[in-house]
Amino acid sequence: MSFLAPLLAVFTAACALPILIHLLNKSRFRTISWAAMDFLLKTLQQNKKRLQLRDLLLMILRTAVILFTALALARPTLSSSGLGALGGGGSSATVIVLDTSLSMGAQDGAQSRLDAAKERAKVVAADSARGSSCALVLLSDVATSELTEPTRDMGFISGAIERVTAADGGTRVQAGLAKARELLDKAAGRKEIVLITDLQASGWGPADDPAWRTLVDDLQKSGVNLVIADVSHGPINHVAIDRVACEDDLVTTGDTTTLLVTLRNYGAGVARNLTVEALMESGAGAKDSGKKSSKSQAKKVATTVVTELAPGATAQARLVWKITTAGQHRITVEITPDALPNDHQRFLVLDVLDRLPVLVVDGGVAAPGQWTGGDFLRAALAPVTGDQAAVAGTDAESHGSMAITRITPAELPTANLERFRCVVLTDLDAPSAALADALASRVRAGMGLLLFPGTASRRDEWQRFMGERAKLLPSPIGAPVEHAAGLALATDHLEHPIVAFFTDAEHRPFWAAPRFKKSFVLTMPADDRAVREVGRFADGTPWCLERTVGAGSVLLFASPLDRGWSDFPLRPAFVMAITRAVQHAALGWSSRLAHLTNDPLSVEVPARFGRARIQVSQPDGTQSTITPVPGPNNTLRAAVASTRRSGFYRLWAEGAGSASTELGQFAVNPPAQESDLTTLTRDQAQGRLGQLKAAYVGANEDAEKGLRSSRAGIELWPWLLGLAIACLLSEMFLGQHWAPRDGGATGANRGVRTKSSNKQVAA
Amino acid sequence: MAIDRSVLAKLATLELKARYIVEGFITGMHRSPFKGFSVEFSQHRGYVPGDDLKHLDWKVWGRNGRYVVKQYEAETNLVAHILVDGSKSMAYRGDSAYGGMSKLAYAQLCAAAIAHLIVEQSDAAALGIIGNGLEDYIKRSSSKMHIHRLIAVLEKMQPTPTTSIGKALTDFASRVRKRGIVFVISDLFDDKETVKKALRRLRHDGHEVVVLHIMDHDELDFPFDGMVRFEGLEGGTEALCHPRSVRESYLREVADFLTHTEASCRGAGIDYQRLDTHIAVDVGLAAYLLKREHMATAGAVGGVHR
Repeated sequence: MSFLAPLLAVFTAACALPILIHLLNKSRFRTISWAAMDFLLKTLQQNKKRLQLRDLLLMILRTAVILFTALALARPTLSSSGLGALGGGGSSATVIVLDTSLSMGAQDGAQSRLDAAKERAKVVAADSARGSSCALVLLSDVATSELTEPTRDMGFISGAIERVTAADGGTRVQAGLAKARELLDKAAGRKEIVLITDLQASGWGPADDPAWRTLVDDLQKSGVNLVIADVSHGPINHVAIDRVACEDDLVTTGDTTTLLVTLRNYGAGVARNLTVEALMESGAGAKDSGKKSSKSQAKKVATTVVTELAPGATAQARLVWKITTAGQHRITVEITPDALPNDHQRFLVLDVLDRLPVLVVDGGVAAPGQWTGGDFLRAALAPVTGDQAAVAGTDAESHGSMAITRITPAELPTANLERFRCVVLTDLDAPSAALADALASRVRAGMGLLLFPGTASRRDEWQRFMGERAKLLPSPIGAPVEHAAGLALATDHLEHPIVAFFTDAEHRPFWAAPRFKKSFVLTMPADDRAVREVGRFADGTPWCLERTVGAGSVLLFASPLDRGWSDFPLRPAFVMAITRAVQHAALGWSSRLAHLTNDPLSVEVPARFGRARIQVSQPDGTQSTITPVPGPNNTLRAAVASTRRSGFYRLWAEGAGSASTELGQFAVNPPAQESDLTTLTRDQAQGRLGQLKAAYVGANEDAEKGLRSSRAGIELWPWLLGLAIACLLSEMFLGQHWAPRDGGATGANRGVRTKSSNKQVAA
Repeated sequence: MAIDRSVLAKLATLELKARYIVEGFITGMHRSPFKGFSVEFSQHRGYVPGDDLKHLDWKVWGRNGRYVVKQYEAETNLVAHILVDGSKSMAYRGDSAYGGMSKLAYAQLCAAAIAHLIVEQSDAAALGIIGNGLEDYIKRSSSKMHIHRLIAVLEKMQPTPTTSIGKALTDFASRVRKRGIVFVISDLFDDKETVKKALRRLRHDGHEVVVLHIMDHDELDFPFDGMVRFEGLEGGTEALCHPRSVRESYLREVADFLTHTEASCRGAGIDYQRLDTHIAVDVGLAAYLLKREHMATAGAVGGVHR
């Protein structure tokens, strides 16, 4: 229970008045010398208890009249979220959590949900009692606030609400409530959180999530009053682009590029004739090329039409065209806009190569007629016809999409590693410290590294330099184990992109075919989030582990490409897997060019730029500057903290003169689930909140009235006033009933002549 | 009635007041209310206008055609014993009392008026003060000068802290053998049964007993308001209360007392008259005397027993 006008509660002190008056009356009396004391004493004796009871009852009623009236003036409220915090006064600390996620851009009639939410937020701020404080939290995937604690400057809050613009992020209610809780920690008095949202189901975590449960329990224990103001007006018919991906990681100028576009119909009716277009912008371009709307610089490169899309169904559209120039290209895929803006577009940065340069360091020694690991790799990565093989040299095959360079370990110290996007070490006996350092530097910069330790490899040297020194190994290389019966690869747990290809029934047999006679024992680290399992043997031990190092990644295989160890190099699955492994290791980082909204963006700044300020171009066309900060391994990194809007973000450094150097460009997209406008009902939302009772204001309810009553709970003053009146009437009735009537049954007067009767007698 | 009460109020002495009252109401009456009681036949005398036809001897008229009335021995030597309560409780004076008189003053005036009335008609009057027994008893006399003595005693009397009406009446009964009319002028605030017993004894001794029950109007109406501390006039008791809250119950108690007292008197053949002090003395007495006159005419007045 709390009070809307707590100052007026001081009038409850007036409850003492009846008692004081009673005591005062007892001390202020007149004295009468009385003759008929016997009658009086007898009367008092007979009526003692009754009189005491009457006095007590009347005093209670009089006290109750004052008490109830004073309480009614103080306007007590009973929070609908249970008892809440008792007292706390009329001033309160309120945190308005305003949902600014992409779904809030949905148009419900003439007004967007965000506009409705802003109006309600203004009502909340305006309705705060004098002396109350308020803070504004903007909620999407993350929760942000300009304040570190609630302020009493309501003008600032109103201005902040007015400045709120829609973001393209997802919804994470947990983040908003946690931020609000953090702000309220520094506030005193009654605390409340007003969550203004469209109750989008995807924004609410599962009720049994431990972190969510902890937060909800904490809010409940701290007596925070939670009000949820709903601004959604039901489902909206719309179609969204859920996903855009390139069919292959490796896109070269020699091949066609295929984009797979996944469309989903979130409406209740069939969507027809959906035109899907791809717009491409190439090169560094203008510095404002991050602007989504700068279509004048983008060129339409592919179009397709989805003729029919059933409600709730998805369709995959293919956009195919050929990119003729190498470099980074910004691709925008879009359909016709609808009632939910900003999910009709998806953005992609494609890094197009002429060919992928791969260095194979082959330390294997093969008997005549036998192939080394390097041979198998060349055959798999750069298959050539017999004629091509006759023309090509043995040290460099530049056929297909990859350019393979083979060298021996002895040539490695003189090799220019910066030429290659991927390095494969096969059957290397022992890496040197210098090699390990050079590889580590390149991997951190984005190069891929595939490691196939072999029979001649000295595991202790590998562990010493590649593991402990360069921290490139995902796992120590254990002693080899023989599998007499031949160990197969597991056909489950094929989640990694390299082996996911084999999950369908058509390709799975290929994956099940190889048999391994020997393998090194690799161990999956229990608490290293940089290491990921690529695939495993049928006995559950890892076949390949991946470690992410900086922008690049390292793949460590448990078995070399040696027929003495397995028949894997001879199997079709080898070609499929090794091609994907090289592409993944070399270009996996390119997938990091695609980000979700509110993900931080970070690039390494070359040392030559020092602490020069880095320019950032944002999707809305604005530009800002950031200062590089030291990163790991004595590097400098530039980070963009806020990516609220979807689109392209570009970072470049101004060099000497007017020259500028592109540091990176990124595509930022909203999370796909944000397009799903399924909302929670009040009961469902309450179910997520568990014991934390929340008050709800529906979208169709009067905002001011609904929010006021919901914030405060049920106002009790009408009941209290009723009670006061009832007590007053009771007191009046009983007082009148018990009071002696002057003309009443005064038995002593019976038979006593009055003056008038005496006059008659005298007459 | 010819009494001017503004004059009465200005009269200084009890004697003057009593005389003024008596002269006032005597002129308005046809005959003395204290004559012709059931006493022994003495002689005939000639009828004069104003004589009660009830006493006309119709046998004499039948024999010789003369109008004579019977005369009784007691008529010529009526003794009125006036007993006045001198207790502290009689000192109470309510705001609405007639002439601002206390019950005692009211009783004194009543007693003086009755004494005047008795002596004026050549009968004898005696006076006794009810204290802790019968005090200051003045023997009967019918002389004109006797009235001065009685009034002097009345004027001197002071409220006595402790009184016993029953004991005083018993004393009186033991001391006085001559039958007559006994006027008991009191508020009767004493043990009911004792008083009742003493009054019955007087009646048994052949006296005609008249109880003039003096009550202040406040005692009958209990008109007080606000918080009041009541202190007993006879000492030792006090009570703090809000009178309005107990008024009804108090009045019921008083009504029970009055009803019981009146019923006891009536039951014993005692003439009972309640006098409220906010009613003028002459009015109260006249009302009683008129009632008595009517009752005498109707033959309902109990006489002095032989």
